[in-house]
Amino acid sequence: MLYGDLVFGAVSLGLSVWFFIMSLGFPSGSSSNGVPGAGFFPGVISILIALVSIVLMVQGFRQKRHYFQPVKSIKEMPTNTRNLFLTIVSLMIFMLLWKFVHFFVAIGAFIFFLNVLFRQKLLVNIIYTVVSIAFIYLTFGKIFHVMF
Amino acid sequence: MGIWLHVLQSLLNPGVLLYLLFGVVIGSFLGGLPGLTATMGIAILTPITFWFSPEKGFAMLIGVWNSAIWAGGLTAILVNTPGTPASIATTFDGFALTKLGKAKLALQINTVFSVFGGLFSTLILIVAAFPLAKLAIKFGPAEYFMLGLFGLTMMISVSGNSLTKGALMGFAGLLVSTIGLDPILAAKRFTFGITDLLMGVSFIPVMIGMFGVGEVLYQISVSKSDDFIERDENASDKPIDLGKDHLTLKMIWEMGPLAFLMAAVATVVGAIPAAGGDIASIICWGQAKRLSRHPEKYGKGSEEGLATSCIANNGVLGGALTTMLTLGIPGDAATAIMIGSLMMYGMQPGPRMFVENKEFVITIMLLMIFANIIILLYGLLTTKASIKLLSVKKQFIWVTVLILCIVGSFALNNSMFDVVVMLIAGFLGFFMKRMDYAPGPFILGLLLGKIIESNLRRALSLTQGSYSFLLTHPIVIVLEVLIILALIGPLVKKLRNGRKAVA
Repeated sequence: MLYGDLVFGAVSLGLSVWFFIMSLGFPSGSSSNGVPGAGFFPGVISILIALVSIVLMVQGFRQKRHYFQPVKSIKEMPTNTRNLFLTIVSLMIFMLLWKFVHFFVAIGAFIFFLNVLFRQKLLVNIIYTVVSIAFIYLTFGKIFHVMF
Repeated sequence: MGIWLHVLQSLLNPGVLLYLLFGVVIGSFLGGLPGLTATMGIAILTPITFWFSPEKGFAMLIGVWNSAIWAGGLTAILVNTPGTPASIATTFDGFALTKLGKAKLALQINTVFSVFGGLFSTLILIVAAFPLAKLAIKFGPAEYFMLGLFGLTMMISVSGNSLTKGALMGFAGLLVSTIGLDPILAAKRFTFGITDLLMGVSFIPVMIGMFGVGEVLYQISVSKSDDFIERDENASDKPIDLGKDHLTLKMIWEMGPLAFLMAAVATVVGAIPAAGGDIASIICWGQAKRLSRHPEKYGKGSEEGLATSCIANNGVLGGALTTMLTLGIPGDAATAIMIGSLMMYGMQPGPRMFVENKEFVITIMLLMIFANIIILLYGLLTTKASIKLLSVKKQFIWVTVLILCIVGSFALNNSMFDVVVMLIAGFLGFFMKRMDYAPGPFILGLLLGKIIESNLRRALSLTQGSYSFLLTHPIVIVLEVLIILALIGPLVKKLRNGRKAVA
């Protein structure tokens, strides 16, 4: 029953209703010169999104299409799905780690982990990680003066 | 004439030409490696170019853009995998020629005719842009509002298989564009108390995320298990035989009339907002087959068929630039990013640019010519070396792209918030790709949203709130008709296909 487009349509319908309600609270325009207020355009777009979402939900229900296979645990995932999941998790961990350690430590750990995940040889992994950090430091840090 | 010579002199500066060459070389990797696209490359490199002068920055971007489209034909020809979407039609005859032992001929056709298409469309840009800009000066808020809607509608109508999904993405992009300060009343909208959102959702991190991170995540999700198995380095895959046949002047001469015609078609297609190289090359290939004296050879190794697809995919670039520079409406995704790049340099694409930044407009035109000349030399000299592209592991590409996306989006404003926006856009881009939602309408909605909204409200203020401008301005009416045709067209086609299937 949880067909991909049906779920997506329901989520977008919910979001559009939420945005519409918020747009009602924005300053209104002036009636003397006819300029619509700040809530006019987002309000109209929210209504259009809601209408299209309903159409999408109907189409999703009729087409009965699933885009993702259900999985119970990480061990049961196919390799590509597991790699995807771990890549996304590692991106989130990288962002959290960056708050507590220097950028180069965080990105180094991130690169190393990804190369392990994608089954690169250890020596190749180490060389790639070191070269990448050096490249970022020299090009972005020193030449472009990016403040990591 | 004086201004042209002055710009030419300033471009014949080793610094600018070097950046153009860098761009061509980088573009050859981006286009030649499946999974990397010209749009992704431009999105990732744009933040880096901000440290350069506008001439050098744009030299690099123009080099990347032209070269990546050309290089997409390399893997299309050698291994039947288009390096970029614009090279889909190149696989039809390109790979067939490789199987016939004529890879070298095919690669030379790709180079020579891609450059021809690029140069032809650039000449059209040079001739047509200034008169078009003068016409565009007559555009008022009502015309710009309708033009923005037209661009968005075109993108929705050509995106993917579902008009509904395309429309949803387009409207979603418009809604996201309203985040930040209202352009007229400066009221806060959907900022949720986050200061970084006051200026709105930044376009470039979204582009980097959707076309960079989103694409990598998608490729990881569809990769096969044996992509991760270490191959025996001594195992020999059968090397590709380039063959001895090569392109001759006689072949070029014989294909001349068709080449000019297809280049013209491709330029016009490129000028239509949202119609890119993939659409142009398929249209041109089909038309060339109809006009050819030997249509039976098409799809089986026709040099003419290959030349046509190569002309078309580079021929759209000049057309797309014409629309971008004269009207401020992107001709395709790459020009959408370039609009963002121009705005970061303090320039506003559109007719005003031809007055306030005329020299830079001419700079872009001349850079297009130089880029194609460099590609011609580079392409012909590296024909044999292009096979090396096939040996680069996908995993290295994935990690490299992810790193560049993170660093590039941070480098824009030294802001972690941009990285967060980039990652959210990346996850969204992945889900969109996986569920057959085209990102094009979303990106265009995000880019055009402010133009559409502010011009609509200005048009309404000029008419005291009356919508009569929709029926009284001739250019607006023409655009309305085009919008209706763009929306009805796919629906009619779908109904016809449905009837044929039943019959």
